[in-house]
Amino acid sequence: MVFPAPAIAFLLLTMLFPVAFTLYMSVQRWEFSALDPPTFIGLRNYADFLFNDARFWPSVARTFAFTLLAVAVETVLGVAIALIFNREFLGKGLIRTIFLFPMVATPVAIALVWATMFDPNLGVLNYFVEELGLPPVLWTSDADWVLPALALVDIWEWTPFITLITLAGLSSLPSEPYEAARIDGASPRQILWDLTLPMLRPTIVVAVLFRAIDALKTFDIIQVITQGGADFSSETLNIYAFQNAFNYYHLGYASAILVFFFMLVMGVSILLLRVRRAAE
Amino acid sequence: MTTSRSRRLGGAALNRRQVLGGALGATGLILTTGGRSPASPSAAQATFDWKKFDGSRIRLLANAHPWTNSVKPVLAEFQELTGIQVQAEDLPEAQFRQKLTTELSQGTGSVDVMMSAPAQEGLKYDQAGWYEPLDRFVQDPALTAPDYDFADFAPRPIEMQTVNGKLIGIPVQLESTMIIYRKDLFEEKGIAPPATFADLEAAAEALHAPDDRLFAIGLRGKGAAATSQWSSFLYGYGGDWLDPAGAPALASQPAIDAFTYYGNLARNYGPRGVENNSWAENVALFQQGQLGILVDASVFKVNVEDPSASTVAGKVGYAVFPQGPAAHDVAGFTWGLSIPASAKNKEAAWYFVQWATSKAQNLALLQKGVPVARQSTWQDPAYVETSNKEFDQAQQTSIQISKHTSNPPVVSVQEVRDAVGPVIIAAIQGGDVPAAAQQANETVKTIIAQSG
Repeated sequence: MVFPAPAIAFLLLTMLFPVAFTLYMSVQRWEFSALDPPTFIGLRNYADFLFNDARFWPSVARTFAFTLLAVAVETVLGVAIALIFNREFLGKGLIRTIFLFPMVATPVAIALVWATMFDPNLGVLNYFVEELGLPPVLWTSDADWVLPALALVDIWEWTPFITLITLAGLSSLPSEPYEAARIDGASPRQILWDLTLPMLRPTIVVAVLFRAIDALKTFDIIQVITQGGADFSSETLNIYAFQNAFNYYHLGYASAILVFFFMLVMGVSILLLRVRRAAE
Repeated sequence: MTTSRSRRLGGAALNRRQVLGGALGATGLILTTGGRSPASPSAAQATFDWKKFDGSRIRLLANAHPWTNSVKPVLAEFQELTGIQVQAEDLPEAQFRQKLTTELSQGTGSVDVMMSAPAQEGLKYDQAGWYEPLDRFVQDPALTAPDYDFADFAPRPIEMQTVNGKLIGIPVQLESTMIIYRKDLFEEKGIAPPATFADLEAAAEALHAPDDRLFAIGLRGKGAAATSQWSSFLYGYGGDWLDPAGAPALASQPAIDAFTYYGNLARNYGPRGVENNSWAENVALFQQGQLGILVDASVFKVNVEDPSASTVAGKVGYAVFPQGPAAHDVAGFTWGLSIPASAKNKEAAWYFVQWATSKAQNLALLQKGVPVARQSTWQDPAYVETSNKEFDQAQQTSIQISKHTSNPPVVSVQEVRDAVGPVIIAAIQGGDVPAAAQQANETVKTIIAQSG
């Protein structure tokens, strides 16, 4: 009982206290002031953003759109690449290592590089687009392009993560079913679809779970590249809460949004965990 | 927001305007007014006790700004003069604001001197009780060196550093919206710097050659960031953020004219994707020789004249923002040094503020290209010798005619700017400006009702 006590105390302090304090702040009105203390206003913050805030629901929708797009592409690409990397070929070790680089790099540095590449006038992406004889794209300046463009950065950065986990799953697959399948004359295609992928499913679900939770909470690349622009077309919940707290000084309101966001992420996690159990 | 000129500052400051009578850099006059001792600065220096707070420590939290870059290397001089240790910390603007807000809200006195831009956060910080009024320091001969010469600061920046009648900061930098243009291209086309809005559009039309990667005019298009430079257009059409009764006036005819004119200019003669351009993108384009005119803050002279970053250094001209159909007004903006009300070492902090805003430091700053607020500095032979006279003239005139700051005079500046940003984007995209303006006006009404 004594030995885990420091760990439990640490956990309480660093995890439970911030959550509890955010909950407390979410029912207060406080505008960062030395003169006016927080005042209790019940659930008014929640009611305000749920029913009265033109920027709230669109930011919820964007949070999910970004996550869905990014994680879907990452999963397909990541698993496909893992299957390729699982074969023997020349320079496999080196290529596998290089492939992990995006995941290791600092997100803010990555975001700055991408922001430069996205620049519609000076960026390298439009240079290639124009070399191909296509009309230039506005990338993050265009309300329709900005979320896919940001998802592209996330995909570039995090596809290796899915690959890594899938590779681990692949190496732990039993070899007997494959021998049996080969004896029964299964084609490589049948082996992939009827054997490898079903056996990998629990692994892939875990990878998707991790990525989905992380993608929902994406803050760094959006904050660095667009700060929620163009217009508000990349303003996700996290960005909107940040604006409210640090640019508008509505700390109570931002806390309420974050409590809502917390529950949202919890909900998605529980849902995905259920899927995982079903997959097993 | 800067209503009161009677800042309880005593005779010297109150008389300053009439004493100066609009004459710039009349430094000789100042010593004869306000009952100051006519002693020479060096003699006065000797009687002032700079070592009074020897051994104190102060913490400075600053925006990563040309001012900060300029002062950090010489902090040792201050420490030598006063014996006060300065712990300086600077962060990029967004992170700086976030950190400052967080620390001030904790009220632990962790910050002794802060950089602050009153046009952005002045009313909010004052409402939150975060500013220590500096009037008492300026007036106190025991705390302010006789050669400090507060009256030397131009009236306009001091006005902008005055919130609800209190002097809350001493300006370290002063900027205004300005026409920064390519002299070589203007000469080539035989056009003069624009004097009116119509001239500006004509010049843009003459210069625009997007197929040769030359876009005529760099206006900020990124919603909220654009509002500060758009505001000069608003004032030129005779509009304002609020009407005299304090209600938002963003759907008024002058405002709609300003949105429309600005949007058309940016759409027809601007770089592509201008909706995501703030100053950084436009300054980069100008440095790459892809812009004919940059309409932005005068502080970016440093960037466009930097030969290591700018391909157009030396080819740049400067002109006062043009006259609008209804008025000639230019948005001004200042960064200043303020002392938080919670600061633990206010006197030592004031020593730092007065040293950092002294004539010597102002000269060093101006020589590095940062526009400063002291009038005498602009006349200092050490500066005038090598200065760009066209820029000096444009900057001085801008400040003289400036009647507004670049931001709405409200507590929730950023929230209002975010609400107005979409109207600018709608205007750039050729959307329904009156409808967007009406909607923004309603949003701003709600914001003001909630936060002021």
